[in-house]
Amino acid sequence: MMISDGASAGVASALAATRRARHEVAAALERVLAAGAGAWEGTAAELSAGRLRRLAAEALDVLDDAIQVCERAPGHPLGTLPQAPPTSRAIG
Amino acid sequence: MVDPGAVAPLPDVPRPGALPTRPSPPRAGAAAPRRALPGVTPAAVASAWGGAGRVMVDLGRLRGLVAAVRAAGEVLRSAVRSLVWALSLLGMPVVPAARLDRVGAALDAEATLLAGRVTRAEEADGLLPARTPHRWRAAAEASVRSGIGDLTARAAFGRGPTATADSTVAQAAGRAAARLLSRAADQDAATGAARARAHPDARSGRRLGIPAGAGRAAAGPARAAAEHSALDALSAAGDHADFIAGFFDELGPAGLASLLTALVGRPPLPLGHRPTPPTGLDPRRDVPVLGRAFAAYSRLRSLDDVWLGQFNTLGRTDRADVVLLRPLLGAGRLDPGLLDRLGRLAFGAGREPPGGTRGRSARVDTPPPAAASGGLRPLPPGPGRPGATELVAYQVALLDAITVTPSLVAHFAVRHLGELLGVASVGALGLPVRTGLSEQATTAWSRLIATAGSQSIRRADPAGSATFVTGLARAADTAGGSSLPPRLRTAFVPALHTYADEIYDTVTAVVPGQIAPAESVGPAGALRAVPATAWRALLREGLRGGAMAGLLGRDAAAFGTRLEEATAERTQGWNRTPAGLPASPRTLSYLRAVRAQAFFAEALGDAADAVVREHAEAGAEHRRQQAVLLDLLGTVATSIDLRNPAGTFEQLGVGVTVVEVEAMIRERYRDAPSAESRRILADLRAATAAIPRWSGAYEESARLLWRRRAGDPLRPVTVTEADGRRRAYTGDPRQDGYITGPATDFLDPTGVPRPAAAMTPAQRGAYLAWLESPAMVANNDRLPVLAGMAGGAEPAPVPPDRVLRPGG
Repeated sequence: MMISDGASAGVASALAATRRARHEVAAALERVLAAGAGAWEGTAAELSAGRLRRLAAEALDVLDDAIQVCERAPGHPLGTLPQAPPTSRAIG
Repeated sequence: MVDPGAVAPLPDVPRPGALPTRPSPPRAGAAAPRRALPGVTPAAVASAWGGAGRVMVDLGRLRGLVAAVRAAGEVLRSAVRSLVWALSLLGMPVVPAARLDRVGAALDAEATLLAGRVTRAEEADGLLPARTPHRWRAAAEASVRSGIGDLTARAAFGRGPTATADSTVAQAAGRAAARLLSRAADQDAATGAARARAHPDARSGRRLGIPAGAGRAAAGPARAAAEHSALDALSAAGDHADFIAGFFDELGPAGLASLLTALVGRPPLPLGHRPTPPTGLDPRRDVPVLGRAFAAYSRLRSLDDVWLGQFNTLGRTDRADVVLLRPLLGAGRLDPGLLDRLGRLAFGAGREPPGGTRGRSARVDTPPPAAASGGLRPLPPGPGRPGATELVAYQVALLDAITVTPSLVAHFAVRHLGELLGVASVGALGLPVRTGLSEQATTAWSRLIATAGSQSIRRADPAGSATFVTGLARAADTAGGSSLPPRLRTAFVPALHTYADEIYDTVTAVVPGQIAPAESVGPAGALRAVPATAWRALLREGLRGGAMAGLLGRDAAAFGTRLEEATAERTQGWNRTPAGLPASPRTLSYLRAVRAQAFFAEALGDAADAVVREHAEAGAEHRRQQAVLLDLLGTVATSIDLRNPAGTFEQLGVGVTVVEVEAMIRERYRDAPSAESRRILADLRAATAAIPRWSGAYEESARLLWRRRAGDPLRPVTVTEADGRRRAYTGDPRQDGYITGPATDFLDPTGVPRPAAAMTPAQRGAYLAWLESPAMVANNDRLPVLAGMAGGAEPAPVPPDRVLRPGG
């Protein structure tokens, strides 16, 4: 792919990095929620689970906002953005 | 909350509702301990002492949650860095990154909070099996319902003022509960045949043709109620040590054997099926209760061979009907000494490794030789006896129980390694008769071997773990290229991973052999004494399983990367030495890093050869298996950049699990050509061969320099040490502090280093340190040539990385 404009290349890589970060954070938070299931019970457990859910929501909000900021940035070649590369490679 | 003083200390004061109740038969027997017994709230049910509300905790999962929250915090921090970079690139304010950072900090705080919970639960949980939460949960809830939690907890941990009184009462209550059971058996016998009185056992009538349980049916309700009450009391007592001691002391080994026979039942009689007699026992509820209590008892009393000899329903004193223990094995953590004894009974004495560390590890006592040699024997299978299937199930349960006993697993594994590999390879030959290990047994052994080699066992039992991995390498070397089941091969991977640093440190050393005082002698030092060929054989066998092959490759690469980083840090600024030196101080570590990868690549080649050989003359099914394994090994090979460990580490994934490998082999519906994989592996082998065996040349060159020192003196090197001091190295081992006395003097009377193989470990250690010292590295003028050859100007003949997933 050709990226002639330095600014749009910058936007593209910033967007890719932010998307990748969001993907990784979402996966990590998924793991937290999965690990929390059945680990403990009681009032304290419910409170803790509530806090974790709130934190997860906030983290993803921040990253979603950041992605939007990148997408609105000047020099963003709408519709021709490269996808973020996969974060890890499955290999035997 | 119950005030301990308000509870009458007599076992027969009725306090209806004090025990967890269930809606079946009425309780019988005045001796039933009806008061709120000081049973235990399983401590993992940590009512945060004095805190609000009870908390049910599954320790294993909670630890997992802590780890997950910590990991999420890390990921968030890395996301913060990405965000800062991205926003700065766009010239935007970095406020969102700061917000994200705060979320990360909150996650860390939460992790700390949760870790505190884990610690508190662990402190409270001295006795409970952490891996069977569903089993204690019911009892815990029952004891909470009965409102005795507080008293229970205080008595159990000896914190309450009434601890001594409680102890006597609880022991008496335990005995009373056990007497209930024997009385039930007596009633049973009384209504049954008169001759059966001598053997309080439901089976005793069978020999006379009297239907089993006939007497029991007549005595039904009374017996059921008694059994019910006894087990109820045991359940409510939870893990109270005194109650349990009283209960099992009174019951005795024969009584326990009878109880287990009634609880689990035996295979149907030759006379055919009969309706099950009414009983107060419910295996689903009572087996976990009994198992947990028995596990606690095994740690309270030493259940020696005398005890085991009476553990049968035949009234014998020399037969252990160990198979009866099977349902109890998974319910709690048994005493390592008892498990060791059971292991010897089930699998024989095995072979102690040379220089083993018996006795060094905690709580594994050797049985007296007399008992080990004769006397005590397990009951063999036979009519009315457990069948072969039951025996295998018992062995699997026993192996699993040993697997979760950190102080025993490594010792046990190393003792049986030789036999295991022998038997397993016979089984894997696929002979028409059934030989070797059953599939379940192989899997259980694999779990055990994998656990013995794991990091957690290394932490829990360092000496045992080192002995195990040493024995494993030697056993794999001795076994040669025998055909082991793939699962067992995969079980070698954890050991290879855990000891990767030691293995590669050994195989890349300038001179091989045991050294001192680096790890001194003992099991850890014995690791160094394992020849490189044995490590190579173990690595080959581990790779032949195909699973996690990438992980092993990453270990080699990671060793090289870490070594180079450490050397770079240590030698920072050394290049500024005036009048430049012929060799960089970092060359030696570079050569060692390359050698580590070459060693791995050689083992990979060995594994591929073995796979090809193994399947050369086999049918289509084997060819599919071969193609899958070669694909997996080829995938690892493509990712190896022999001259660049860091690059390898980045390119290589950890690999697939053994279950995935098996699925791949199943799903292959046609013979896939494996020519491409073979070519890649051959290329890697050629590339490896091009890398010189530099260690001999290096050592030889260093000796030459030393021999010529009179005519051509070594150039002294002055370097800045890590502590900031400047230090001069002259190359003279005495002056530079490598030879400190006769023990470390590796020079012979003429001043020439002795052959490395003839040195003592202490001398070899000093010799190695001298060879690697700055003066010798700097003056070794053959080093640049060797490094040039290893670096090679020509591109590595390995094709660029590609993903070779089977079918992909």
